[in-house]
Amino acid sequence: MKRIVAETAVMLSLAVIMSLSPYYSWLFVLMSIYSLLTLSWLFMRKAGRISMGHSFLFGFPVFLASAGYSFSSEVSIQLFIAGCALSFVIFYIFAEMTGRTAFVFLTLVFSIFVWVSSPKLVFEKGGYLTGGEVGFSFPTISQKELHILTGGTLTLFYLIYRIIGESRAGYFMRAVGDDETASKAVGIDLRKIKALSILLSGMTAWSAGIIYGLEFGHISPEIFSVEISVFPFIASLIGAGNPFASVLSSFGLVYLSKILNSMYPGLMGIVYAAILILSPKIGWWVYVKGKRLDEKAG
Amino acid sequence: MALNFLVSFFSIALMALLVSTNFRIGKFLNLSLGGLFAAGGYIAYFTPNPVFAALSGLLFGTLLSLAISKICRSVIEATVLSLGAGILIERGLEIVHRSSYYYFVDFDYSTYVILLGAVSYLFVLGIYLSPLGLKMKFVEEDHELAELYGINTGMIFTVTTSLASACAVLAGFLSSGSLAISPTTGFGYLISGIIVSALTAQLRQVGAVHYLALLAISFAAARFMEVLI
Repeated sequence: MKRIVAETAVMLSLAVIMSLSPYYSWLFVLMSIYSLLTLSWLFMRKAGRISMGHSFLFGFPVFLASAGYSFSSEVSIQLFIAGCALSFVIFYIFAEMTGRTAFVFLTLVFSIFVWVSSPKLVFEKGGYLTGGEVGFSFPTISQKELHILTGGTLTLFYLIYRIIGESRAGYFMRAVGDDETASKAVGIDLRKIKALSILLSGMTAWSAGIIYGLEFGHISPEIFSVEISVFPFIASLIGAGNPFASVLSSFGLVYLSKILNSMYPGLMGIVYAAILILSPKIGWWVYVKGKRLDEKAG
Repeated sequence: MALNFLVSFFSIALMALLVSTNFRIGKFLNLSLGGLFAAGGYIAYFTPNPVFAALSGLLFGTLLSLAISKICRSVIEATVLSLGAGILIERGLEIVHRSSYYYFVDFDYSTYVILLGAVSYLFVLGIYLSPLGLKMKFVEEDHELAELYGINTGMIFTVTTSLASACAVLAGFLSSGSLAISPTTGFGYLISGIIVSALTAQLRQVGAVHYLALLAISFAAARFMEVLI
């Protein structure tokens, strides 16, 4: 419990320190969005499902909401709720009908499919065409409000993640993640656990999506890009699957992307590619180091 | 109209063939094929030489297969590595040719995709109907057992990945005339290929029958998949 309090205190301190400058406040919001995405990914990972298409869960409801916002706020809210429900159902069906390996492929291919096909959504509004590759506008709020909202959301979902991790449901998720057949044999309801992990993952991702929309005031099909899909995988890989380290690595990756992309646009994409190419080696190295650290701490 | 349909059909069928051979023989989903397709378009713009395009693909495929053999221990690891390789190509293209996001070439060889697709299918079917086909089917069905029986699975894997990569670059080169060339050009083709390949896999066939089914499903799906490409 002490550790959870200390970790939360570190995050809140970062939120306070970064609120002092407008640029760092903007950066904090961006870092928190990606950290929420990583936490969302970890919820699903806990139950043994590695999603490589998390951009769909993150982007789909807010993409629909932004399309609906072209008509009215009410339509936007209704479409957001429909998007949340639909993305949950789709991921649940994927988890039910596939094994672990096929789930990785299916989510990745599906998110790329949505990325490729979403620019086809174009409609006429007031004599102008909206959508396509440009996307749709989205409402914004003041930076101060956004900073508080983001800091609060990140802290809330981090606490939920840690508290659930230590609860009965969290142990069930871990058991299902380790061995589905054995979990079934001891009476764990696999469907309920999978649904719970996807729901928690979805709630985190949907919140991140809304904050993303509020931060940029605009949603384009790039929200489904492969870079966003693979981001939580990379952050978790560097953070050795530890939630706090993964949140910090998400912060670090976003900061690094700002530095590298300002040096040369697109440079961070090369770093992501290099990490993915070396991921089998990095994963092994991080795992061994993590084990050693655990042994020392023990 | 009919010619356009044939170009779309063979483009999808070719990508499905490349995805399928890599998955069945190499045991991984080759996600670098989309990037290689886009690279073919860039080669058409800057160095309009199909031999150079094919050789570049061949070299890349060989390096990719070597990297997978050295580093990866599972299907997921190999797939993630190939995704990284695909992103590396796209970002590399974007960085190197930043002066303009879209490029257009002033020639159109897109009808040659029909020839490339037909030759590729005939080549694969020819192999499966030859004595080598038995070995290939063995590798498809049980990789480890095939290795135990003395089949050089490593060599088959390298040759398959290299040829598939060369074909993807060449397809991108030939299609460039009908496309706005950008780093993400190949994703639509890749996804179409994966969908057709996944649908055909449900029939649970092996060898030449599988590839004939792949061709038939590509034909049936071409009209719907045209939207993606």
